[in-house]
Amino acid sequence: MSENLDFLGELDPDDPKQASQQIANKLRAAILTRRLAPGDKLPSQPDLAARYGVARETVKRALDLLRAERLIVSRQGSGAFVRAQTQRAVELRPHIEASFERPHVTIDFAGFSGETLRDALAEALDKVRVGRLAPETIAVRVLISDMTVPMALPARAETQADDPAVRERAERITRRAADGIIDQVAELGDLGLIRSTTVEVRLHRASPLFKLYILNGEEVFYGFYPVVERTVSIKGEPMAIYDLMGKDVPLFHYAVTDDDTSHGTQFVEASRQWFDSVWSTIAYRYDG
Amino acid sequence: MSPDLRWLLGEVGAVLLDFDGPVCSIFAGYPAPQVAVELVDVLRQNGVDVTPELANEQDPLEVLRHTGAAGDYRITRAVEDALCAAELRAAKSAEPTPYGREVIVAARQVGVPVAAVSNNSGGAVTAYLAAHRLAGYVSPVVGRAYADPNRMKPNPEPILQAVRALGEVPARCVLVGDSVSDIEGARAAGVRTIGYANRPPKVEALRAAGAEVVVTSMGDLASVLLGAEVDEVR
Repeated sequence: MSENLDFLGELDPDDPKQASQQIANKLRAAILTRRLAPGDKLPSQPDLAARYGVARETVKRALDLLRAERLIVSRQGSGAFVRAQTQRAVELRPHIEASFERPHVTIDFAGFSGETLRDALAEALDKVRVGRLAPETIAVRVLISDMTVPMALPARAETQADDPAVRERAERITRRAADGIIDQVAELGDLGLIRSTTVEVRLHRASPLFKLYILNGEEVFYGFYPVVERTVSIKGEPMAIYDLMGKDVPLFHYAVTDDDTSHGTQFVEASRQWFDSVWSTIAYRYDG
Repeated sequence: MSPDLRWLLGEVGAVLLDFDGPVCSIFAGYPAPQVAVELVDVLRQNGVDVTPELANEQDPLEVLRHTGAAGDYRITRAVEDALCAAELRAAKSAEPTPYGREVIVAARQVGVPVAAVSNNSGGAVTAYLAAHRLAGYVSPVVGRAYADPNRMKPNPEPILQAVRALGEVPARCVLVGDSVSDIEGARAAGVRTIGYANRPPKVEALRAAGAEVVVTSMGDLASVLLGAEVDEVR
């Protein structure tokens, strides 16, 4: 890997950013543009330190940043490698569990129904129940589409239009998930295991096109809902519908880093702003 | 639901759909008798002495068949061209068959390929499927052989052409059709048969032609195909 490292560039002495951040930026760019391909070994820490004329500790901090963004993995004794699948679906569950290690847990979800969130939460809450996780407060906000009003999606396929029967089916799914989340979290509060639990569900009239999870305000998972056509049985009758496919779609993970200008930091910040803007404007209370 | 239908669909690996009937009513907005009259006009313009019987023919495909039988290839082509143009226009105002779409989508969902074998022109079938966002779900589309009406169903050739394109053997395919010529063609090709009786009198006719199962709603097929499919979570 030490052959041609020109793409790593050089540090800009006029750049006010710390050297570690500059190095992280250059490596990140190399990874995202595939000059360093998935599975490739990164130049060694001494090589990088020599190249940029910095202390080895500075290089180490740069690599820590990339590791936090899940762009690289380190293997003991053999160095750092570009993650084999930087685009692969990231598992939500372990991150939700990890978010419960903080004293004050906040989880914001926007999307279709929150079924995935309900199931992921169930595992974390089980660990609270047996005392392996002990947050002091949990606040969950769920922002979902109101399936009692006309929607562009889901729709009847033949007509490409809203259909009350199609929405009724969707509404059952969203209601079940929302109620499940409310019940699970409330139960822990009632047991006195957590000082304060709040779950608030709000509805809006926009169709669900993507899902977004914001964990403790510092980590975001984002995924698209592709539109798929399927025949489903509605009230005993087959009906072809344009549905949203939420299962098995890749989730993209973004996390806040020390660098205010990093992709992760900016994505998380923009996600929070988006969520709060919808939450506090067009969204309204779900009454269960 | 008919246990025979479940049994039959369980034994096949591909579905061949007749187009006019199981998928849509192609002449719903541009009536077939009107098209027949236009084709007869083409015959007259080409100097054919039209019998009163032919002048009263309601089915444009029969006018084409009759023309082909007369043996003048130039005139057969003229009628074929006029019919292709009329079918393309008709496809724009075709009426989807209730649950026809559901059958196509459900089959694809459970991994059963769907082909179309029609006595209408391939162009009209393809145009309809594209306009209804179904083009990607149906392959191949085998339409009427150009200016060669002898090769229309009940001739088994177009059915076998679809079977070959699917890489299947005839016995593992089922043809769904609403006319006696579909059932006869399918039997001659050695494929399984489902009659779709969109009008009650057709039930007996399709049975008499040898249809293994006769349904009066395409919804029955969709439901059986879906079977135990469960809704996914998201």
